[in-house]
Amino acid sequence: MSLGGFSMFDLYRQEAEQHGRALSDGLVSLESASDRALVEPLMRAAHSVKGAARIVGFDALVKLAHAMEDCLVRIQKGTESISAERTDQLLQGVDLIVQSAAVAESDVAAWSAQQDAKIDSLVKQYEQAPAPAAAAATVVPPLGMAAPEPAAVAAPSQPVPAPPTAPPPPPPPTTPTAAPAPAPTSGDVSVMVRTRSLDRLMRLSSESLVESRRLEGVQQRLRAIRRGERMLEDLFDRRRAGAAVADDDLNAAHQRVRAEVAQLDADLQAHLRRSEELGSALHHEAIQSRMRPFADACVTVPRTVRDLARSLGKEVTIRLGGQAVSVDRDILRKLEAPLTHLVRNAIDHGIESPTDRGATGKSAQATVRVSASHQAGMLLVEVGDDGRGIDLDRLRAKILEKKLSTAELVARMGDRELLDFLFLPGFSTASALTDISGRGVGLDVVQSTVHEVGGSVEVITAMGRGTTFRMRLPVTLSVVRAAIVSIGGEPYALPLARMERIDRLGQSDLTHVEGRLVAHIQEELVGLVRADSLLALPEPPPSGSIAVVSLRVRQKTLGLIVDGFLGEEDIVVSPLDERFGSVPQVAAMSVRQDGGLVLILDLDALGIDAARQLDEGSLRGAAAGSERSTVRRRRVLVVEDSLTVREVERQMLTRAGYEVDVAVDGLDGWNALQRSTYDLVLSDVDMPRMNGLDLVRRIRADRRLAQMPIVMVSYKDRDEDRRAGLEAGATAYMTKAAFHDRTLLDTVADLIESSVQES
Amino acid sequence: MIDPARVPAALDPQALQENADAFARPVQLQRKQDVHVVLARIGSSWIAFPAARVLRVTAAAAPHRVPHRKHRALRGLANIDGEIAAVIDFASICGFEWSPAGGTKARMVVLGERGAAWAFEVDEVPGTLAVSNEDVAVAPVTVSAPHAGFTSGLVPMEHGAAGLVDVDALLTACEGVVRS
Repeated sequence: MSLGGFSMFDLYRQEAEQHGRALSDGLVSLESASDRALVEPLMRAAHSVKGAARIVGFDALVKLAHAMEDCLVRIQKGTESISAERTDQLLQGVDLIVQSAAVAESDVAAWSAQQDAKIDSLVKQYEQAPAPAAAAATVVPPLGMAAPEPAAVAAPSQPVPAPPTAPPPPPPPTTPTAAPAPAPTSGDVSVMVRTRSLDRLMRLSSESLVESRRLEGVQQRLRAIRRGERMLEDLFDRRRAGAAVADDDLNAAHQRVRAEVAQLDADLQAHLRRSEELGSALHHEAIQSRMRPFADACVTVPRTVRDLARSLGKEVTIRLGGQAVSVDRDILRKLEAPLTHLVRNAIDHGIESPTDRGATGKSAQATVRVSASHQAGMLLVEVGDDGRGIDLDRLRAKILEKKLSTAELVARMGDRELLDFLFLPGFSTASALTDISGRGVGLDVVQSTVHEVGGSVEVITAMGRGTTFRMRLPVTLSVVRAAIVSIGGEPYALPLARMERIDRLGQSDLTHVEGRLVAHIQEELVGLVRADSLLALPEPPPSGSIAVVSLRVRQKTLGLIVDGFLGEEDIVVSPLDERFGSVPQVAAMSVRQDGGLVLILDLDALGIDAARQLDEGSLRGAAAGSERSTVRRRRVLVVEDSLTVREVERQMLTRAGYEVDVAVDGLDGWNALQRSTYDLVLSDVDMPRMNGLDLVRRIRADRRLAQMPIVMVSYKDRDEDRRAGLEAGATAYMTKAAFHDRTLLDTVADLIESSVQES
Repeated sequence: MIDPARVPAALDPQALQENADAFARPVQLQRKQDVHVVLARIGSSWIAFPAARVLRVTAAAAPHRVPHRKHRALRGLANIDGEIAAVIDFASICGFEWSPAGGTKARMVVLGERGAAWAFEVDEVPGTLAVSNEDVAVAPVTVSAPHAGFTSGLVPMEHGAAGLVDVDALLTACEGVVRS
């Protein structure tokens, strides 16, 4: 039977999944809250599963759901109290319901036959009153050890499962023909979109359709203008032909055209504004439609916490926060595994036994918090516990034991540096490997998953008070919040998620240690690497202040020197032009709002390459030799009598990183050259008191200044003017049109660079 | 062809009829296989791009350099009217240098296809030219050699000739340029 593309069994699957989750969550909260009001939705869920199973003839599930429902009814009526054992039994039933949703329709009979004994055993348990003793126990024995197992036919072959994070996969098929079905979806994948989001998308697209039709009105107005124009022409023609045309008539016609043009202008402006707004709203909403609430990533968490705490004999309450925070569905999917791992980790390693907690004056009931929030355009996900915290001394010992560092270095390392070791593959502080966590796959997997989506993870811990793992993730993968920096004079985007910080530093903040350029950033001595040399780009003209992007690589912070910080933007990620193949350190590209391109850098790759080159000392940027290019600002003297031109030149050069002095004419310029030293002179030709040609001749005649690069800038464009300038001794002659592009700046940079190399 | 000098100031019905007849007559093609080219000047050289392969001619856009790509002919990537194009220094790829220090080009000739556009910076694009295939001369060895095989012929112009670009050979070379 098929209903609009869905088979009846598909519908059963959806019901079983949905109600299975509701039952799982509901049972866990019921156990901790013991509130009878919570039972009713569970009864309804079990009832719905029963109904759905009956429609598709899934008899085994009908039987199971029916017995669960009966049992829940007794709890609701108060004839039976909820106990940990009962919850266990019911949760096992829920697992079967969830499992059944993954069974292919053709395998129903085989699956039922295989699960028959287990289902019968559960149904019998549901019909019996639970053993009263264990319910009151403070310390609950681990599952599968002391839990009462009422006489069950299949008990030995069906042990109580170890606490699962996800329902165990369906058992292997009994017959070769009954192969396990692949995921029921094939071909086009359908996803859930909130109806509200879909509605908004519909509304916005309708609005943009309406908006585009408004252009017809604009066209009509344009026609009216044409009519007015023809009328004016007529009037002029008549006047030219000698007819009497009153000035008033002409004026009136002209005014009409003018008013229409003004209105057209206003209409177009409004249209432009609305189109822009609609466009960005549509884009925003399209991205929003990819979003799911954070709660979706947490569905298995309460169950995990409960089962795990019970098996370890710990008492743990789970607090979920930020359940409504929207998260890109791709990120949400990737988040599930690290989240589960961190929760297990918190319960297994972080939280002490109730006895230990009692001994330190803590409440026996521990808390694990899982929360999400949006912060500065990033998604912040935290998993925290109020357990023992991480023992940094033990961590130090472990680092030494594993020979990961020297005793001297370890002693000097800050908390953060020490804690970073936790994320190394194979590094575990658990003294013994347990079944729960610490299986070797651990925090390094959490970190690599988080890095994969462009996020970062850090640990905050306080001895005796607890540990929090904080993951910073992008809100979506298609739009990235990035810092735009200038490298080699061109914009590059650095995803904020993987960046530690950006500092604007002056030359005085830089020092040399063992021939390397370093800076104190937040009381840490950070090795610096030039981004342009890492990217194999030519060095830009040196400037007085620089920006340093701090990255964390292999337990070390290193700083990437960029020309400057241009701002923060949301950029739409598109893959790099495929003709280029893979370009090292470049992750993707993006078109900015002004139409310009920006390359998105892969900070992981960049950081690793930088660290390697810093170690090798092969980077010219870090070597002492480049000191002069970064430490001293180049000085330029601008000689120009026009205030406007002088200001333009001063600003252009200052912005390009030069230190600029100005002089108002040739003589003033000559005096300035006597007082101070410059790397280059930029001079006008026509000036009062002493003109530019005389100034140049005088400079060339001075032995001390003979090698000074001089750029002459004039409005005069004729060849003879150019020749006169060059003959007087100017190094370059340019017209003021050069202000419109980089010609002037490039020339200045070239001349200074070559004169520096000569000297 | 109608000589404008011979068009009477006021058309009489007879003249109109003659004109109509002249337009109705099938055009006698003297030469077949016209070659349509887009002319571009680079320094003192004239280049003829087959018009059918030219996507558009635009004002030059500043390209964004691509890190680690060192070929001197590669200028970078640019967004040209919403299309991402690899910008190539035509003179460099042909092996001749005309570029004055720090000079930027005024125009770009964009070749290729949508999604894989190549932009070539040139000084000037005065327009298109249609010539007969028979008039396209085989490029002398001295011309084709420095062009590294991108000149398939010489298109006659008013004063001299323009090198007709072999677009396929050029783009094949460009693909190598962006990867080196």
